[in-house]
Amino acid sequence: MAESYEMSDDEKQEIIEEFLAESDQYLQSLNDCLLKAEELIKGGQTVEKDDINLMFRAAHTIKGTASFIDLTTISHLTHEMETVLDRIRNDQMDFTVEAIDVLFAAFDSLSALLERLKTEGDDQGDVSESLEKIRQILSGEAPAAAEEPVAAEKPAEPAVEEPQEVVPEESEASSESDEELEKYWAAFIEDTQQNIERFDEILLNMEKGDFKPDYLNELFRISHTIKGSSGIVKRRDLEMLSHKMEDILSGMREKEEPPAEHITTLLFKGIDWIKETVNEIQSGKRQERDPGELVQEFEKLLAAEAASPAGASEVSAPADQGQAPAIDINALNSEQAIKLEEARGLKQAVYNLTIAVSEKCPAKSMKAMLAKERLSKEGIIIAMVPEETAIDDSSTAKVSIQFLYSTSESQEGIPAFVSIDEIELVSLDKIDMAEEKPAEPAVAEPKAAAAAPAAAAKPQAAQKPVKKEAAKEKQSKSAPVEVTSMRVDVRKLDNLMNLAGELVITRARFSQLLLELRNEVSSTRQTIDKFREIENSLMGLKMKTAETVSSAEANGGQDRDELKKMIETIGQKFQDTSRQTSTKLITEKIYNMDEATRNLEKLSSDIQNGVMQTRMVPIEGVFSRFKRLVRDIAKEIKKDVKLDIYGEDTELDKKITDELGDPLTHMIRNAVDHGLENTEERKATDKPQQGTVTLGAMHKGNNICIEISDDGKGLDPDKIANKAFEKEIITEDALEQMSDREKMGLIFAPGFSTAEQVTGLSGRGVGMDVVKKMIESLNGTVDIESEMGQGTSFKLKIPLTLAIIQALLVVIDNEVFALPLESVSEIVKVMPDEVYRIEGTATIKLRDHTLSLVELEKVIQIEQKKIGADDERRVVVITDGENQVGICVDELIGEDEIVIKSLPVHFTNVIGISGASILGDGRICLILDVGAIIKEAQ
Amino acid sequence: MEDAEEIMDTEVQDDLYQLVSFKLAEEEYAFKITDIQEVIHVQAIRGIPQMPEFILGVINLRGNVISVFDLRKKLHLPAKEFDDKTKIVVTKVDDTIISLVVDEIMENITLTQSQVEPAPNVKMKINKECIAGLGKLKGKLITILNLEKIHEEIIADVDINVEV
Repeated sequence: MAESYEMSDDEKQEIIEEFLAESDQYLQSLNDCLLKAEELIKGGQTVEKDDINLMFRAAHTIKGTASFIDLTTISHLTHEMETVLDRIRNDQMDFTVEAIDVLFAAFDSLSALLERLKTEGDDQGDVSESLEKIRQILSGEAPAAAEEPVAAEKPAEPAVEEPQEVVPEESEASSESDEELEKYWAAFIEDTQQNIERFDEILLNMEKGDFKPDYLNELFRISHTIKGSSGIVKRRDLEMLSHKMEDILSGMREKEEPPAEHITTLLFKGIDWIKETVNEIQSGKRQERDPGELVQEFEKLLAAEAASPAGASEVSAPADQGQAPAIDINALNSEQAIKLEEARGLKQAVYNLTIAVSEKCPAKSMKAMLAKERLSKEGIIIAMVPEETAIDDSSTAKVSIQFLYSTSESQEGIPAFVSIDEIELVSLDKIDMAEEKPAEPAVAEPKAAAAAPAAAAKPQAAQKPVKKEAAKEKQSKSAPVEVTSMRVDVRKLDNLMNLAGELVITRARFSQLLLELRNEVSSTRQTIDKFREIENSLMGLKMKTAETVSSAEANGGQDRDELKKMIETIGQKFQDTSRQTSTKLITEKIYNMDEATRNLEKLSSDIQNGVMQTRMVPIEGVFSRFKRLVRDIAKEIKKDVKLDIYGEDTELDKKITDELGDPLTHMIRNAVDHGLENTEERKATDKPQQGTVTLGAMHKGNNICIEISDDGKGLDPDKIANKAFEKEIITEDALEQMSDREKMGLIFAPGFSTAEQVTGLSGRGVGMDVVKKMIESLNGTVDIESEMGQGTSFKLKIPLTLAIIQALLVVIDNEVFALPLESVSEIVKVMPDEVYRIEGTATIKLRDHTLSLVELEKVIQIEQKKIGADDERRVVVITDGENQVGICVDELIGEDEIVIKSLPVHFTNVIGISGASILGDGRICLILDVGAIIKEAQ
Repeated sequence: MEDAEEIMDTEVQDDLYQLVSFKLAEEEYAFKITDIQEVIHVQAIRGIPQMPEFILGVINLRGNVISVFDLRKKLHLPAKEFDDKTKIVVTKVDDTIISLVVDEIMENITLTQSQVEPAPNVKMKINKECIAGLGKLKGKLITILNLEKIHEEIIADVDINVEV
């Protein structure tokens, strides 16, 4: 091979040694698996997929390394083995005794080759016999004996389902199989949906008259990206349509003027079709749709545009079909993002590098791998699309590979890295990471020009019909963009969240243990004090005895000396003991530990916050779709409506944003459809003809507040009340006692709809009661404010996250309960004589109003301690936003952050308890459901 | 070969009942060993209101909140105070981890098919459907319980709509 890069002999020797050591392991597992498989097949059983995959991987890995160090015989042989194993694992071939024999023969040849490599330093052994056997079995000829019936008859299906999950990425066969595609779907759907949203937004902006030439570039880029990614997931329908859109946009962006209305309309149609299709894909429908009519419309438009001179040159520029989509620097996975950071840290330039593997090359994936190895030797490969494992070796087309590549080498030096037989450099663009404005790649231009000679030398680049177009496209691809986000699997975050929760629990446990230890020390200290006392009294005893003894000196000295000695010994022992049990050291240690625990506390809460932050996304994603929604509804019902949005960068838990879409959609529909008057009605009043719906968000403590308001006619409490009465939601008696506010609240009652006639937009069965339920399931509340003639405002209050809450811990009858701090309004002390009864309900006076005390025993069967007549009581005042009640508690423990754990399924029907949490000492505390308790109490 | 032996083993195992036996109200009962995850000492049980008497509440098993049932009460056997022999058997049934209080853990036993009979057609102290079979070993009678069935009943007792 004529390669510009040659390994030194030493280098090569080192690699060969590594390769041999590595291969030994793989040979071993290959051997084990083959033996096991043979045994199973002979016994008429199925070989486990895992084992086949293991064998496949072994062959694949050996092949990869061998080809890298030019061991062609080995790589050829292992490639053939891999092919056999791949067919077997894809159930394209039965795993028979013959197959085992063939694989064993190949295995023996491989062992011989490796042995030769070890002793002779090359792999020039004869493996033709093994290869011939493989060829025979692959072509379906029985090499020796007839197939054993047992194996042949074996049904193939038990193995069909598994392989996708168990095969790690690197072992994927070179053919782009279905399971391979499956991996792209999720990414495809997410990317494309984001792109669609942006596309929509730009179109809307342009329709409003807000035009920037950049918009057209962006639209073009989006279409191009959708086209590319549709190609990857093999959706020809999407690919075809987005291609047409791209063509149109390609012509338009040259003109740098706002598109005509009919073009915008068609683009809307196009993006809607794509949106529908992607939604179908998301819901599991993978059937291709027929974009025929739309495509025709686009073609008509294209033809019309082409007739005008400006469009002509543009449309003829064919989009680069075989090319992989540009790597989006904003959509890197975590691994890639880390690499990018690394590159930035090294202050290295980052390039968009595209190479193409010649269509004639038989082992494209191998070449790709070679290029990858070369590049990674000289720098950092941040991303590679497609990965070499995803390249189809059997394809007869040219394979284009994109790299996001960083190196300390100058740009001029890069082409040498990929100067490999059958690989050509297609493009090399520097990405300016510091550049802020994405659409103006001024810096990139000269560099791209510098790369041009390299590209121009290649025939492919020279063949490009419209050079200018190609350059332009490249520029937009390499438009400098800053990496501000990355994609992380939500499950990983959930897991991290759980761990952070456990950390908080463990931290609490530490504090608890420390407290216990401190108590222990103080009791030890008391013991020591006692020792001292004894020691002192002993001293006294000693002196007293000495006196007594000396006065009785005459009685003889022996007894006296013995007694003295005894007392002294005891005294000494006491002194020693009390000194040994000094608490000084341990107190010091406890002090240190206290400090460490405090640190731990800070760290764990930081980690928890950090993890929570990672789950936070701007609400913009939810809000942006409403621009389109309002436009569509307004058009349909012929109202002039403007949507004002504020606070779209307010962040909240991703999980909650996912849940918010539906209720908000409904409320916005209501606002436009029912809330706002029609144009005539508005004209009749002093209001501007254009109605305004406002959608906003802001943080308030640990909650996010979302406001949906309109400047329409407002809610009529009496009209609502009458309706509720007609629908038998409330009785007349109840009605009379209701405040206006309560009457308005009736719209949340099940089965209520204020629309005098049900239109196609609202009132399709999802009432406000469902909206309220959805919000409540997020632990949120809905509040209405409305003034007749002025408008209506719905205010949602939703906690930022569902996993951790601030809670007030209390003791009720020796058990710990948690009350969400959110619902605690105050704590008061009450003397027994301040409690009186109204209609049997214990009530206290709280400032100027009364507060009923909930008897938990009656309401949710939680026992409460009987309190003495003279005991002072502590009452926690809780609220659900509307009503207040008091709960008597025996003891207040304090505020704490608790991690919510749901109760086991058996307790689904328990009322008044929303979950459990584990305290620092391991005890379980139950979380009281304030809303339910207040509801039950009424 | 090793693998062949393993296969033989599992084949034989199918005909064997591997059980863990325990005492309840002076009689011996057993669960299949494969149903049991672990056996723990009695620990603080947090009561949950509004539940039938046999549902004692929840315990903290290494950070997980799991349900505890009093098996005596569930099977309508006379109640008894916990003592130092009382154990909690942690099991997994229908993908739910539940735990059951028993009087005392006895032993691991293996019975062959021939040593196990179906529940007799006479009125028994406990619901016949909850009995998987009656095992005989050294003159003793061991009631093998059907854990899935018991859990089904528990689910019915708490009146919730979950797929069992």
